Amino acid sequence: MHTSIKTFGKYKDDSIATPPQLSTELCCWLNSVAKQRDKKAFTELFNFFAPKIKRFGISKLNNEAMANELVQDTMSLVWKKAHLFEASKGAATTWVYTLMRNTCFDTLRKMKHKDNISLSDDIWPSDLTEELSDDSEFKDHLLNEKVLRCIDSLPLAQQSIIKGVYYQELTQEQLAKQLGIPLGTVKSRLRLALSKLKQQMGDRDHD
Amino acid sequence: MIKQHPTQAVLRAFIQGDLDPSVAIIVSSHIEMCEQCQKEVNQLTEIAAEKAFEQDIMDSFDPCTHQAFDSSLSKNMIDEIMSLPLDESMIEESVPNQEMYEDIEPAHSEQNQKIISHKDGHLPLPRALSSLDAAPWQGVGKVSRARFQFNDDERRLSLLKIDKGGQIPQHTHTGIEITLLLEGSFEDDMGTYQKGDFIWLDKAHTHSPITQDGCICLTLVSDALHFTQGFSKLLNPLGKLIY
Amino acid sequence: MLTPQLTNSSVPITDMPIFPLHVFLLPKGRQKLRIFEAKYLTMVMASLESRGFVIAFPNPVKNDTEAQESNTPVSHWGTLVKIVDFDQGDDGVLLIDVEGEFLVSLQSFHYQDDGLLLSDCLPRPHWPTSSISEPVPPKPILVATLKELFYQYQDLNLLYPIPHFESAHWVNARLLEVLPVPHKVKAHFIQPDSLSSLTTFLTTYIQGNNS
Repeated sequence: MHTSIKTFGKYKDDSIATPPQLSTELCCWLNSVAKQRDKKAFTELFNFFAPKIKRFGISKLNNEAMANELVQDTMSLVWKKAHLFEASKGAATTWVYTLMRNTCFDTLRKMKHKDNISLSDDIWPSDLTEELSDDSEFKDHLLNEKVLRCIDSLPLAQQSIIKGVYYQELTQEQLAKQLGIPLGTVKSRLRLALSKLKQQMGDRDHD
Repeated sequence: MIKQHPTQAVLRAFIQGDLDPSVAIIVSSHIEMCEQCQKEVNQLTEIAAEKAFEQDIMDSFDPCTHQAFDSSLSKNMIDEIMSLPLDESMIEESVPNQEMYEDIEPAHSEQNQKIISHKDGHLPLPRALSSLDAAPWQGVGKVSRARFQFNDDERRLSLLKIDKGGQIPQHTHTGIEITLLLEGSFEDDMGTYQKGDFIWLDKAHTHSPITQDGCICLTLVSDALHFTQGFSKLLNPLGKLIY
Repeated sequence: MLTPQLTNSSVPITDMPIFPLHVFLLPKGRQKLRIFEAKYLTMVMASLESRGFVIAFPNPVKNDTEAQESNTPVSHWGTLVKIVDFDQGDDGVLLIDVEGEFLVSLQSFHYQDDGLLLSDCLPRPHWPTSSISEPVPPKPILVATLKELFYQYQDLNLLYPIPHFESAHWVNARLLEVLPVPHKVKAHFIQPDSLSSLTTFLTTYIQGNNS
C-alpha cells in the first residue's frame, strides 16, 4: 500500500510538508493541467486529493460507492476546469474544495430524487391518485381537461366505470338497485323511453 | 443595500456541505448577489479546505484511508477522466468568473446565466439555478409562480411573482419558508425587504407579505402553509399552489 | 328562492370563464366541485366577486391540433352557475357548491394566458314558468323516486337544504341530472318546450311502459 505514497513526488521527499510549498506545488500542477493537459501533473493532483475527497464523501454521503463517484466527478471537474483556477484569487485547495462541496450537493440531490417522477405541473398528482384509489362513492369531482381527454380515450366500458366514480350521476347498477329491478330492465326501459322521446320530438333539430 | 443575510451557522453548514441541497441552492443564490457573504464564504471555505486537505495531511498516510483507495481503482479513474472530451470553448474562455467559484453546480457552470421570462419582462436568474428547469408560470390572482422541477418530497423551490399591490394572505408554516428577493421589494409585519435579502422563517412566524411595486422572489417552502385569517380559510388550498 | 333568474337579454356577456366538465346541470341544480387546478382557483376567486362562471360539456378531443381548428372545446351551450357554499376537503382541496342560474349559449371561444377558456354568453330561455306562485305539480311517481334517491344518497340530499318537491320543474330537472342517461339525450331537454316530453321520458324510464 505504501507504494502509492511515492506518487506524491517531491512533496513526499520533503517529508515534512509545509503549506506554502504544498500550495505552490498544487498551483503548478493545476497550471500544467490547464495549459498542457499534463497527464503526469493530473496524476499528482489525483493522488493528493482523491483519498481526501473520498473521506469527505463518506462522511457526507454515508456510502462508499457514492464517495467514489464524488471523487470521480470532482476530479473530472478539476481536469476540465483547471484553466478557470486563478492563483491570485485563492489557494488551490480552496478551489478544489468548492468544486467538491458543490458536487457533493449535486450527488446528495441525485440520491434524494432518484425515484422521483416529474409530472406535469398541470396535474396535481396527489389529488388525482387519491381519488382514483378511492373506491368509496366519490360524488364530487372536478377533472382537468387532460384527465378528461384520457377518459375519453378509454374503451367505453372503462369510461363508464370511471365516470360512475367521478360524476354526480347514478350508474345504471345503482338505479337498478334503487328501483329494485334487474339491470336488464333498466336498460330496456331506457331504450323504451328513448324511442318515445324520438317519436315526440320527430325530426326536430336538437342543438 | 442587502440587510438580511443567512446566519453564520447557515453559511458554515453551507461551506461544509451539510445543508440540504435545496437549501444550499437558495443560500448559494444569495451569496452570488451579496458581496458581504461572498467575503465571508471565501474565508470560511479557506478554513474548511485547509481542514479537509492540508491540516491533517499526515492522516492521508493513514493506511486505512489509503487502502480503501487502491491503486488500480485510481488508475482506472485517472485514465477515464483524462480521456474525457474537452469542451473547446471552455478552454478558450479566458476570464474565470467569480460566480462560478461559488456556483452550486460546477458541472453546468459553463452554461450562460439563465434568463426567465415573465409577463412583465425578463429576469436573469442566479447561476445556482442554471441547471434547473422551471415549469410554466401559473397565476392565482396577483400571485404567480413557476415551480422548479426540483421538488423533493418535503420542499418546493419556486419563483414567486407578486404584481403591484399584491399580497399573500397572512399565513404560518408547519415547516420553513426561505425567501430570496430577486427583484423589487416587499414588506411584511417585520419590515421592508430589498433585492438580495434572504429571509428565513420557521413555524414561529406569521406573516403576510405585501408589495407596492411588485417583486419576484425565489422561495423554498417545506410542508404546508396555513392561512390564518377569516376569509383566507378559503385560500388554504391555494397554499400549495402558491409556493 | 323560486324566482327564476332567467333574463332574456340579447346582450352577450363577454369573456365568461368556462369550466369544461362532464356534468349536466340545469337551473337550480347544484353540484359540488373539487377545485385544485390553478386556473380554476383563479376563476373561483374572481367569480366570488362577480358574475360566476359557466359549466359546459367538453367535446371529445380526438387529435389536439385538428380539434382546435375544427371543433369547439365545449358544447355550444352551458349553465351559468354561482357559488353558493364552499368548504375544504379532508385532503385540503377546495370544495365549492355551485348552483345553476340560467342556461347560456356560447360563442367565440378563446383561451386566457393561463389556459382558462373564455367565451361570450347569451342567456337562453328554458322551460317557461306560467305562474310562479302556483308551480306545476310534478308526477307523484317522479317525486317518490327523487325523494328515495335523496334519502339513499345523503351527499345529494345535503346539497339541497330547501328542496322543492312541489315543483315539476325542480323534480324533473333534478331527476334528469342524476339519472344514468347519455348526455346527448339529456341535452334534448334544454329546449324551452321540452318539459312535458321530459315528464313522459322520466316516467317511462322509471316505471316502464304504463304511463
